[in-house]
Amino acid sequence: MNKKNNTLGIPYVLFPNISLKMKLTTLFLIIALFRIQASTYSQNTKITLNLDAVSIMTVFEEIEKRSEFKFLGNKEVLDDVRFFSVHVKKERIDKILNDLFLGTDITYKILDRQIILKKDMEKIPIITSPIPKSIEIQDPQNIVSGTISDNNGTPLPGANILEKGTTNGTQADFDGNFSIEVSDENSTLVISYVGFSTKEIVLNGQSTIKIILEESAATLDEIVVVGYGSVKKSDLTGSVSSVKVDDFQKGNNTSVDGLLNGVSGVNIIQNNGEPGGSFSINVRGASSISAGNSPLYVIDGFPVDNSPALGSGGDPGFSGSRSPRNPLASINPQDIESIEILKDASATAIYGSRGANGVILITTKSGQTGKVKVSFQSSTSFQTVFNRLDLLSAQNYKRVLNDIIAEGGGSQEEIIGDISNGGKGTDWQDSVTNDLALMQNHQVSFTGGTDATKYFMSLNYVDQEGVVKSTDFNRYGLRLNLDSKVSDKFKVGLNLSASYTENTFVPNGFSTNENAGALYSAVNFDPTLPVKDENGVFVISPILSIDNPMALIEGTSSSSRNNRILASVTGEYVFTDALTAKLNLGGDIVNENRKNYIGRLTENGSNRGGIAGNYQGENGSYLAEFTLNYNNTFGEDHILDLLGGTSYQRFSSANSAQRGDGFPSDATGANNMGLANSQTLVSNNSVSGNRLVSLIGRANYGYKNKYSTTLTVRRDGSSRFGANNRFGTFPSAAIAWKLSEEDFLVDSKLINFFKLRGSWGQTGNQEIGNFAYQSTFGGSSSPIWDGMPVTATQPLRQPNPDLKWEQTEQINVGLDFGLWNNRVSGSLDYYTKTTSDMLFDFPIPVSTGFNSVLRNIGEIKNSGFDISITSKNISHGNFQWSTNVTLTTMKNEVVDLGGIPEIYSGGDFLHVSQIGIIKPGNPLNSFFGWEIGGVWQQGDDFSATNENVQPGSLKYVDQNGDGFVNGDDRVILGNSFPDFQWSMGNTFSYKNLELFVFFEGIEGIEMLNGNLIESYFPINFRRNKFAEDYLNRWTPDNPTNEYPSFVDPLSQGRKTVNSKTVQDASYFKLKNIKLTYNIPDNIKWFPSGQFFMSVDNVFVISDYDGIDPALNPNNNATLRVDFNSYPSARTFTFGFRIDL
Amino acid sequence: MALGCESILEEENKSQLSPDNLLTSELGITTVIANAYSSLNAGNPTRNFVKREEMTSDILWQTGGGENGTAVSLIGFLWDSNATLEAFDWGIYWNVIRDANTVLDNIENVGDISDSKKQNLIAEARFLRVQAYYILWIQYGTLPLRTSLSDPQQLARSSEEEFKTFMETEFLEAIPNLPEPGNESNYGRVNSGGAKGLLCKWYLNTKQWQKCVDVANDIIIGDKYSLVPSYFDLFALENERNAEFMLVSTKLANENNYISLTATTLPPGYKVGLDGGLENAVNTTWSNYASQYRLLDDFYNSFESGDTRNSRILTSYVNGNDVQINLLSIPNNTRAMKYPPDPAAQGSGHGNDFPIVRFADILLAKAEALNEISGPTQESVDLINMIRNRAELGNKLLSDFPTKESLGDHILDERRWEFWYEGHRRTDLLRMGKFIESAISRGYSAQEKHKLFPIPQGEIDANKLMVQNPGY
Repeated sequence: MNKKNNTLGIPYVLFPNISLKMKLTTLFLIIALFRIQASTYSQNTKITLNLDAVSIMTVFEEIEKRSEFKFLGNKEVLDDVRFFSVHVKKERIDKILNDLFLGTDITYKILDRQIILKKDMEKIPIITSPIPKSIEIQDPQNIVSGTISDNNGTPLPGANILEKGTTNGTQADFDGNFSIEVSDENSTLVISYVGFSTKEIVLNGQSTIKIILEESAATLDEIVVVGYGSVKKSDLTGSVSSVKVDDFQKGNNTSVDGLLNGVSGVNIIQNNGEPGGSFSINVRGASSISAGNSPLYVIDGFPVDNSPALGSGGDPGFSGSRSPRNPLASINPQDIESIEILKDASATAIYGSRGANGVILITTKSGQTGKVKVSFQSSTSFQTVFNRLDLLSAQNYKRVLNDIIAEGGGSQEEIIGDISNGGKGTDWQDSVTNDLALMQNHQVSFTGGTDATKYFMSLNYVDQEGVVKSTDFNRYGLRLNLDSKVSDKFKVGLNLSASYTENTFVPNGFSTNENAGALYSAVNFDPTLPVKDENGVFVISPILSIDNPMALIEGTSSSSRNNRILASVTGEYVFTDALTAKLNLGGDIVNENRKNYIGRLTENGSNRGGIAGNYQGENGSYLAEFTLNYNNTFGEDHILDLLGGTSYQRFSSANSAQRGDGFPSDATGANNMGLANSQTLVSNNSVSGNRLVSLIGRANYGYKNKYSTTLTVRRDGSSRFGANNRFGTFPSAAIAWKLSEEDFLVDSKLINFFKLRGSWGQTGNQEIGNFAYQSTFGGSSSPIWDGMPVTATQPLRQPNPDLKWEQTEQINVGLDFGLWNNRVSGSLDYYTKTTSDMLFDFPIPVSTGFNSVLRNIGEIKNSGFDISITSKNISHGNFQWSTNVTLTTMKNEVVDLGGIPEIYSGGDFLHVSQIGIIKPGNPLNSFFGWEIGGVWQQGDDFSATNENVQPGSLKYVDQNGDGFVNGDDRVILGNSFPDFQWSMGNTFSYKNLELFVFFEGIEGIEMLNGNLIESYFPINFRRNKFAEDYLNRWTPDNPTNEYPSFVDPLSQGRKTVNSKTVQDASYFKLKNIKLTYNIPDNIKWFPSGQFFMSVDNVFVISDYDGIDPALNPNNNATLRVDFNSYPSARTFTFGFRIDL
Repeated sequence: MALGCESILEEENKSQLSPDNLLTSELGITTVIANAYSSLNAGNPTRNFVKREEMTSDILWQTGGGENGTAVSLIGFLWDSNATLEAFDWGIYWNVIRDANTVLDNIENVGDISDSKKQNLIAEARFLRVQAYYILWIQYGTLPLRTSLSDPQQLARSSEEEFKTFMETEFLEAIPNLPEPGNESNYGRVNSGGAKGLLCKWYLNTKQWQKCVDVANDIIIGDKYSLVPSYFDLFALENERNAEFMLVSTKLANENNYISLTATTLPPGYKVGLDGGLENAVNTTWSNYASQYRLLDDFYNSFESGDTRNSRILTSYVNGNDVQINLLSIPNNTRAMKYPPDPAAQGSGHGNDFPIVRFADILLAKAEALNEISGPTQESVDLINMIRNRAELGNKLLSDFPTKESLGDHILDERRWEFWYEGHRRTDLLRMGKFIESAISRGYSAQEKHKLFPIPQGEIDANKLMVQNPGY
């Protein structure tokens, strides 16, 4: 062995961090005490090496390459600074290693093909050479030995032991044992280990100690993805919630959105229980009136256009559906590694013009080096209807309605006679739902690779039957994530996902009466009628202008097919350790086809000879992004991280529609539009697009791991704005201070981590659709000239060439903390978000021929607290109990409407035209209507009112006392922003069993109960009603103030939005219970993995009179309206995962 | 960056037309004119003529349906400025005015067009604008006069005098350049006869009696129009292009410009009628709404015996369960089937043309104006008798009408029998000063303010110069 770089035997560089005393001791005292247990392989294998001036790691790598030997042990213990030259020819391994380690404290052990390395600290070297005079002999009393383990008694090999205030240190061996010579018997030892909290031990003369390290709360050290990069969570300056794969709400989510439950600061509302149905998500309130409140989604660095490619079509029963399909439904939740929600401006400003509503970053799993790992997961779920509306039974319906007729309500024609089915009638809610709906979810993934190339590959299949008959969701998904090192300098990556989803629907829109859907009809249809008559024909009622619910289900067919490919390729070039460049190119293509057919079993279909709609939509988005990153440390204390880049994204959409009536047969459905009566055929199409070009910059500076600051700026140019205001600049700044690193806290037993954060920034919103600044004309409805429809055109908008970004300024102050070695940790944030220059459909005099013009005007403000706390309540041997709690408050206030005193909002269903009001000083879209003060009683002073009332009528409060109850008497009745919402997840584990229980709740929120409106203001007397209200209605014998008599419910007009129909939708829900058994790793004959079973939607406690207060079919989280809600499901799931 | 990126930020608007490529050709301008017609003749505005003119009067009422919510306020005189009553039409007529102004502002940019064609289009646009203003005025009184797209957004209401002058000027300048009846480019577009008809109504309702007589004489002498011999046939679907309809809202089954009255007028479970002209009208494809428009018995019973003008009122039918229903057995429940169901209609869109002005109206307008000028005269009575004879009723004599008031009252009755379900009644009652007393006699607390509808509150909020009608 050539030791030319090592001529002195033990150079100073060997232990750069060890004290001189130690070095010299080592210099003179080392004796190699190798216990070599040579195996046959090691005896017989001969290795040839020719290496010049390489690191010891390279030597190991070369040996591993040329043999089956594998080096094990904490390689970090090895000195990697020296250079070795090794020239041996057909030498045995022990010989090579002996030479190599000669003069070091590294020892090794050969177990067959494994070479285990360690620093030999067990034995105090014996002094065999004469001691130079200059060297002090160690006082044997100052040698301290001990063991380091975790709280389960598992040794922590490689743990660092440092004498505080010196550079004297060592490491624990394989068994967690260590020995260190200290300068003073009262020294303090600092013990640290990755993943565990650092501990300090004052020796006080002890010479043997047992040290137990507490696992640190992983949350503070995990890596968090932020826009265009990632940081350690403890180094974050902004407000970011991060959900890792292990934390995902352990329910049965077929969609990504469902994973976000229980994240503070995020308001997630399921629009309905439909399989594949969507959610509306608001991050920190609602900051826009006209430009949308959805966050930006970024999947693996690709900002996606989350607008659906298609709506539900305009066909009877399907039109007015407020729950468009969710494009995120094409993403398989099991592929996701983490989701980060960027909340404050410091975090979102890097997305500039699209950051104002928060940003949701989704990161999918990447490949892991090593032998291929196959994971197979399969689950089967049984779903039942979670809840149903409490409606009158057939018997009660007959009794109560006939009573009302007898009292003068309804009319004689409407008297109810015999009840079908031998007096049982039909429970229509039962008829339209499945007793048990099945769902299966299977997924297989493969991951593996070498240091050079790693891959993650998955296949996924979901088939979810809906709880309503004839509804279904299917997804077939495929993903390939690939990382490859082309060279030391150049890396390429690929993220590709392809999915095919298929949905089947029943008609369920917001339309009413003859155009209503199956669920509306199921709520309102006459319960005394049978499903079919004796001839097998669906029964309809001549006095109800709604169709038979089962006819709507069986007589219609509707399905959508959606193909999505999202792919991006990255190339990363490393100029130096500090400077890297990255290019990201990608595309996202969504193609959707929807076909609706309303056949002759339905009234509409029979009137029109079958009605078909065939719709095609395509959304495309293409991205090119280039970023440069510079990351360096200056001296010990200064860390600088700079990012600069440019981005170009182009969005396009195209859609076409064909509709027609009058088919020769229902057989071909909407699959052959050519068979329609050609006079009824309508065809149209359009294309649209927009472009965004951007410059990105960010600087992070950290000082002494105590202070850090982040400055971000993005400059965006968008084709959505006119030439005057195409470009906008979005800056942000943030600072953070880790108080726990300061001297006054560093010794604290209570506080092990404490960080204060503050940020300010401006972000934008540009979700206004395309071409809003242009004056253009489009087609409109045709007049009839010469007996024929002719083409007409109309101006599409009042243009505004000065349109610019909506600007949201956000201030955030927050703190992150860890207490008692992170037994309790969490974050607390307070924010205010002020949106000014709102992109706002500003009402202009309708006499101009336009209702509004999109202008930058007005102001809206959101503020609130986001709190999230994790606590390890019990960690005792085999039993662990931890709790995760989140609390979110949201306050929304419209500050200014550009001089307009108020604007009514919402409506267009059930002939309800004004639901909400937008008025300065109040939350956006506050419910606005009449207060009900009780019921008119016999003996009341009826001269007080000019309204048409009698005993038993609702007593609306005449707010201005003018004797009339009209529009002037309306008041604000509530709003859709919760006072606070909370969630609590508890995880209990005992040995291999784990139980997860998740509660959530919302307090102080209102929702308009659309179906209740129908009971109070019936469109037909003979429609079914809410049971409680009608069974307890006012009668002379029951002079209640709670419910009216319903004898003449329309006598005062339809005051549909009132204090009865706007209901408190606060709730407390046990959302999920999951029991998991983790298969122990040590069963040889069985692969590792887990078995699990879970229940979703266990129970809810709420005063709300609907199916589920958590649902909002209105698809607008700022104006919650419950109407014909597709019921949510209670789901029982059984499944397993095996890892091979 | 701003300069370098400008070009890659250009997104071509491929599916929408720009003013440059639309408003520079005759065809393009014509599609904008077409939009004005489409707005005027859409389903709901037509239904609302009937609804607001007759549910506020002694002809019609309504039950059921979501529509009932606002109909209760309309029928009961309970509306206020915040209420968006479906019956009040505001925006759609301003769209017509906007379209007309678009044509007038841009027609000079149209290159390849003959001068006469240009004058035609200008006259047509000015007429459409004046028609929209007329319908707005009937509801709300005088309004801001918008004659160009470049008028300021904030605009005050014109005075009574300005408004009158504007209307008269527009009518008089448009009429000479409109095609003669029958010469219009397409049936359904206005001709000079229709325009004169509406001018006659304008003079009548603004009580410019002599001018009303003059225009009526001009129309009568022009000899383009006559009474269709049979009142029953006048409203037959196959007879909708006739010598009596002067200004027509043209409709076609299953198109956007349809008539939706049928679906609210057919009684519950209607299968086939037994009278009212529906004897063979079997319902297989027509929608039948929960909202039900019913005639008041006071009106149904008011016809003189032998009057054929009640021949399209349904009193009896067979329902889906083959049960015969007598609508007279329930109070106020007969049905106005003036626009008989269109066999081609699938659903609610029927194709019956709806008359805005017909020749009978000119005759009765002249009779009324003459009476107002000089009291009962034989000429007035003769005009009335023309109408009565067509209804197969005997002549009235001048001696039947001792006073101007008695003849006026009779003309009001005659108009009620003649024009029911055509949306004239409220205006007639207002003109004759009987609107409020009529409502009070039906038991509603009608007030002076109810003579005009309230300007929508949103308009007041958005236009600082707009003053609300008194009382609201």
